[in-house]
Amino acid sequence: MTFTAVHRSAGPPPEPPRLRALPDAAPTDAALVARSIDDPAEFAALFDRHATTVHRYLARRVGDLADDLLSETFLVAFRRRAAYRPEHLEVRPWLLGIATNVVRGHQRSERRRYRALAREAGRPQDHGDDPADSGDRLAAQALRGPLAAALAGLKPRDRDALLLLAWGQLRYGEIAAVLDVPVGTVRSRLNRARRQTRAALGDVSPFDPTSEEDDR
Amino acid sequence: MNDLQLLRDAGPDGAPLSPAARSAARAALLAEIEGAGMRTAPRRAVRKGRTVALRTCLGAATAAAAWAGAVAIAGPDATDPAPRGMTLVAVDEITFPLSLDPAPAGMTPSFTGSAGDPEAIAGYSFPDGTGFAIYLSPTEIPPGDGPHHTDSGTVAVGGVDARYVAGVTPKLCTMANVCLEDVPFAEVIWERAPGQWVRLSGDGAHGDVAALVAVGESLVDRPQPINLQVGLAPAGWSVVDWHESSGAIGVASDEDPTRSLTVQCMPEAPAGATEMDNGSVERRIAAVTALDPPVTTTVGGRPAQVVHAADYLDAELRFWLVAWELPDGALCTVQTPEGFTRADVLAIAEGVTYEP
Repeated sequence: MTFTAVHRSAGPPPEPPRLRALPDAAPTDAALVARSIDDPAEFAALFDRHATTVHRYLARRVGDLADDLLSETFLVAFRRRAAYRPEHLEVRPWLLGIATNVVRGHQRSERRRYRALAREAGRPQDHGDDPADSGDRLAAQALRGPLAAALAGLKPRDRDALLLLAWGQLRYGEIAAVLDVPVGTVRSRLNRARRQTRAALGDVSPFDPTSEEDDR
Repeated sequence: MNDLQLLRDAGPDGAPLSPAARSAARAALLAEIEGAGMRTAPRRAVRKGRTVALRTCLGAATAAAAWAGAVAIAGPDATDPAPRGMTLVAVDEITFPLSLDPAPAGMTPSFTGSAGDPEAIAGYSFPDGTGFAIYLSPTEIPPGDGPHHTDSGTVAVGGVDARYVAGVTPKLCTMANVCLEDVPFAEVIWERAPGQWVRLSGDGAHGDVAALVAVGESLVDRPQPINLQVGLAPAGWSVVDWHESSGAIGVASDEDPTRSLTVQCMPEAPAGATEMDNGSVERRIAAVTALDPPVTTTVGGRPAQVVHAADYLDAELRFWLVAWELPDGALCTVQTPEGFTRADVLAIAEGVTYEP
């Protein structure tokens, strides 16, 4: 190797680097979508902002398939960007709605996965030697199997509404917008899904039957 | 606990988004965008060399490569892995043309731009991610338009008429992974000098026209270095662009811009409203398809790993990747085409400085 100049020191910086924020964070998500109509490159920033959130939602639903569906979700979103209406919906719920539609094409995989998780949770596990740790694990494991089984048993439309609420943390109105149904329909689907989930948990249910998440 | 919380805490979960999966998904999106860009003839021209870089990046297995493409295999060195080395030369310091005097207290700057392009961005942020951005353009910048704008008009910045808009964003999640509600924002646009239009966009404490006017009046014609610098690059290669929100700088061959390398330093992922994971040296290296076992080494005295790897979709697409972590957790990488030797890659890495 030949050096024609002495390179600079690469030692640690004198002060620990601090968190930097996106300099061009000022454009809102909606503005980026709007700009991307004329300048498609603007859309890439939305991937940077939301990929992790969308993937997390997908991974909870379809496991490893989430890697592929993440890509599909953003490709669909990009192709449909002209139809996005910021006055109806923010971009994050819009993307989660598209992700939900993408998952719909893989409902069998999703259900199979929940059933496999339920079976897996039912098998005896090696919990190590720490009594406290094994107690926590056993408690969690006791819930994971029935929860997965409960999700497998829900109607797909009810499951979509429930998981957009629980994992997507969307409001009722947002769920209605992304599923394209009235808010009343969302309420009825959620009531049914939550009732069935509680029933499926049966004896292992740890929640307070009077504890309800506020209607949003 | 209710059933929703139970679903969140004990419901099925999946593996977090890996750098490889993120890179592949982003590359697929960029390829789609590139295609759409060619179909719709966007107003902004595609930068030299980027078209090919984006194509070659399809399926690239690291986040470092994904933002700007990166690895292209071409030229005689690609088939000659002998460690004969390259001539490395010092790289001119990358700067933003303006500074703030006085510098804003408690704010961290970051910069975006590309070589030879008068468009550039400097962002100044508080730890919660709010702050302001300075956007420079050679042409007049139209004011923003959105459903949350509540006020607009004109104001003087240093005696020059400027247009402003202001409003309130109902919900804002910043890159610091902090989500805020009802955040004031403002934007001020004026021609600071002939052919130099400035747009100041601020939120939070800077979501106020008067605050932005004060920032505008503190701008001085004094170039300031960006935080991430490439100290060394092969002779005949030049810095193409930099995007510090992605923590990355692209460097390409002058003769063949499809041959490029990427330097990236990302700060430690913040905890907050949404899951973020910056990974580690080991995970970043493990995310690529190694052709040979990774080698443990040091960069700037810090533990590092370097690996000769292949794209997981195209085994013919080979590259070098070195990763190291700074004391505060910032993860840095250099990725080069295969024609480089391991010693070249490590020398380039040693030349990288990152001082936000």
